[in-house]
Amino acid sequence: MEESVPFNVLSHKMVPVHELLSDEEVVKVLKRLKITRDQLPKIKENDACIKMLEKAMGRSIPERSIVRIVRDSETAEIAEVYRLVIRG
Amino acid sequence: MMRGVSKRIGSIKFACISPDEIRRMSATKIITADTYDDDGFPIELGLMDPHLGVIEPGLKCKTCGHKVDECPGHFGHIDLAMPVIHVGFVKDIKKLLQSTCKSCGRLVLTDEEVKEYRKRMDIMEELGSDAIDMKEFSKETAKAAAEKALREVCPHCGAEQKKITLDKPTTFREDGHKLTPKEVRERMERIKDEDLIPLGIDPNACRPEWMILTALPVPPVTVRPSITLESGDRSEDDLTHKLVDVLRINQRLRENRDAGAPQLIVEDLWELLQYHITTYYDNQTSGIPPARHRSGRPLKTLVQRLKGKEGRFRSNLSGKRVNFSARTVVSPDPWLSINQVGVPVFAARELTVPVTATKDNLETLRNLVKRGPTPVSEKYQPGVNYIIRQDGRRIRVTDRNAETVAEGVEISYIVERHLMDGDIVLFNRQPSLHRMSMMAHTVKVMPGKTFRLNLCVCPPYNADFDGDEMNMHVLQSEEARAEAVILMKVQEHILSPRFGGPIIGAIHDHITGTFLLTHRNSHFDKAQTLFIVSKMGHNELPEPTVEDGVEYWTGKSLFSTILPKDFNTHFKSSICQKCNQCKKENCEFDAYVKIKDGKLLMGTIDEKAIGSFKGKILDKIARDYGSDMARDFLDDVTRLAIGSIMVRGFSTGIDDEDIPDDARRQIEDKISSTFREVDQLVASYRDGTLDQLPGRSLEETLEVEAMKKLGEARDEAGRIAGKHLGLENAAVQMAKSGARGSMLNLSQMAGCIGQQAVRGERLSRGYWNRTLPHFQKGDLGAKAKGFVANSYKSGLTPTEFFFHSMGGREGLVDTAVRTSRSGYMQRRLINALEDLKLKQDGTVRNTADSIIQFNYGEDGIDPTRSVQGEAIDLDDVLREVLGEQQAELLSRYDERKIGGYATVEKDLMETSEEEEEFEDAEFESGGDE
Repeated sequence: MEESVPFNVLSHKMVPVHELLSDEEVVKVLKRLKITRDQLPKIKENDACIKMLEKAMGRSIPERSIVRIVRDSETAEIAEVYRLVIRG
Repeated sequence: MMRGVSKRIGSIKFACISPDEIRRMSATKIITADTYDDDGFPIELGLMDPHLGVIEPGLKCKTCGHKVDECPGHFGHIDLAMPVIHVGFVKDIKKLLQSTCKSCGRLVLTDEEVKEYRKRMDIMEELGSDAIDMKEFSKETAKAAAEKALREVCPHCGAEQKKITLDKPTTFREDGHKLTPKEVRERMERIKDEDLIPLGIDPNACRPEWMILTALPVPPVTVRPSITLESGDRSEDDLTHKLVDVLRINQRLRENRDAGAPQLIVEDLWELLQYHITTYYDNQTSGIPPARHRSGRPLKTLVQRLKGKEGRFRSNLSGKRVNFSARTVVSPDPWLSINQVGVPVFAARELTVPVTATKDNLETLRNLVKRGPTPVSEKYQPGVNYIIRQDGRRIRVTDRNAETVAEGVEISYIVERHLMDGDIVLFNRQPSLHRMSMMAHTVKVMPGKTFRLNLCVCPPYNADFDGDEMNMHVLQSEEARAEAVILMKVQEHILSPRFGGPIIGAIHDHITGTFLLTHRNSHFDKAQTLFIVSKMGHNELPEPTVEDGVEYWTGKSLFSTILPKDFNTHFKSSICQKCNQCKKENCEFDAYVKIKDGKLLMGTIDEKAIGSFKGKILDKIARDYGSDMARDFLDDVTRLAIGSIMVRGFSTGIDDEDIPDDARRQIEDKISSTFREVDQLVASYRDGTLDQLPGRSLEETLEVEAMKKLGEARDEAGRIAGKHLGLENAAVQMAKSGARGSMLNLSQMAGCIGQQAVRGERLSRGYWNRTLPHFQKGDLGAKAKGFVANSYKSGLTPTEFFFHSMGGREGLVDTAVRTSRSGYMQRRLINALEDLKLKQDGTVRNTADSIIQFNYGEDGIDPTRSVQGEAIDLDDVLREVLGEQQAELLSRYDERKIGGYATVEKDLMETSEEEEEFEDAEFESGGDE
């Protein structure tokens, strides 16, 4: 977190929307998908997007958090995916 | 016999084996290095001890009492006089030595640090890290401890640590002093169980001291069988040879040590033992010479048996050989259905299907057996090669005993009958790049020696008949057959998952055939019509048209007979000229196809209608009417096309590329004027008046301009030639209808071949400042840099021929490089993706049940069932619901947005025609077997 981020990667047009799930949402998502945390795809804590998100939210995103990534899809217009934050 | 017995394997765990366990599982101790005595009997306590299993028929195993094939073999063991390091574990031993204290054996980390590391491991496990992540992490822990050991004293006992180095392959040194395996083992013993966990070792599965051998397992004789040569001499397996060495040195080491021999001699022998055991495991260990056979051939020891392409994994487990398969050359047969495969009688008599006798089929089977293995009859009849009794005994059926064996067939006997018409088999052509490379066919037994297949299935297999061979596998169980019929039949694969269109369809002559049948108002008299229709078998003769009292049938009406009665569609065919304003129904080229209620009203049936990859009619029939209908349609199209091309007759020759002298002259004029223009360009380049293009050097500008001019010249030559090659020309018919070849090919044959290029540039390499000594140094004109002004028909000059070969060679090299590269990539992709599976809830998951994709393809659509990649074909639905006119209005009103995968793919298919022509040309130059 100490390192300064040169520019806001999240505002780049090629970078999809990242958002942190609240605890309630996490429960809801896991229940809907009928999975446990460990079955999710991962994203590293030191990923540029996570670091930027932390800066924007003004708090750190701990390991075990889940982020939702909403991106443009060639097939489905919009695709929603979830990623589990792990230590980098 | 094993039916109904099912055990699910919960988990498999690999662990180190302890010396204790080696001794416990050992059938016998091995002491003597001798194998057989003078009478040829195995010596007890020798390497061929009868307790280790049997390899000679008739003998019984002394451990389990079973005979050959029944006894799995049993391990023995050698007690080593002195401990020896296992090569496979040196890395782990080094890691352990470096990260633990030399005196107390504790991990050189404080308790708090250890706690921290263990906590991290727990979290990682909870969050679904795999074994590789965990290994990576424990490596970090070990590294941290090792680095700490070099800087600080042991936090537990305060002892100072020394630097441990590894002398490859198996010698450890501490500050330069050699550590004997015995000392290493003592250190390993001192490491506490709880210190092992952060280092990634489960103390229940593996104690580190087990990595230093005190007992060596001796594999059963079944693993290392000896061969008896014709001369009566015995030849032993490489492993046995190596074990003999181990035993000999072990014996000498023990004797010397017990006799109190000088330390030096004992150490030498100890090192020798280490060498033999190291090479016993891996004979390609770097740093030591490989152990050799007397002949000088390096021995094949344990690691060599498993590793590499010829190793146990890749050659025996992944690449297992199978029975009930056949391979031979393929050849075409348009009278077969796309689902069928013609199997030669030879193969059919060898390949069998097991049939279990029941009370319903007993008589039939007895009759079958009665025929014996070689029934003689006019038509092929299946016979029987073997029958299997209830007790599992196989009885060979011969012509002699057929009668008696047939009498003896009872219920629940299994009869292995020959292949017969209608059996389900799998058919495959390598390389198996997609799922259509292996499809299920029904057998048709035929005379001859080749597999026969319908031409429509060539595209999915990528087969041609210039010597291609294919494989066939006969399914052996009811379950397999059911699965194959439902999932793998050729007709189920007409629509490809790659682009959501037909991959199986008409090619070459079939397209020419329907073109000749349907183009403009071609018509046929009664004899011709009957000839064509007779090929198809079941169709009724359509109503004739009568003109001037003479009955005739139009090709369009004949084609309509094979369409479903309620079929509607319209599209532009391949011969479409792509006019700026499409005249649709009034198209003067007969290129606008319209089908209403199963009647072909107008348009020419060619590649766009029935061809593989592009066939619109085929696509719609497969989608709307199902695979059975699509199969029937393809079979009918094949026969109809063959019939009509036979009636009309079709041939092409060199005279198809004849053009009038006048045209010839025009082309020559064009080319020579272009030459002059290029010379002018060169001149202006020389005197510096050439206008430089932005971002290019002067030389580049010249090249670009010259290439442009010469390209135009070729196109112009092609255009002039094309003007004289009309649709009445057979070669043009093939090119325009999409059957074979392209207009580019034709213009190169009739007009001018054009500029030859290597790496996209005019030819320039060869001699100093020139391509060939026939030209002046520094000549930048068209002829000197690889422009071929002649056509394939007029013939090339020697220099032109050389240039053409240069261009051709690049194409060949490219294809060779491309195939090997993409093959390797394919292999790696398959290995990476083979365990992914689409689950019931639409997610894509791997075998660990982790999610890879939350929704298959993000939209959850099966591309096979999609319309060119999209979920539904809105236009088609509208047309069906609202009727033609209203749908037309609607679609005009609501111009759909362009974007997304589906349209991209469609656009590509639509616009890539010019590119395709080039692709085709490439095929021509390097496409033979």
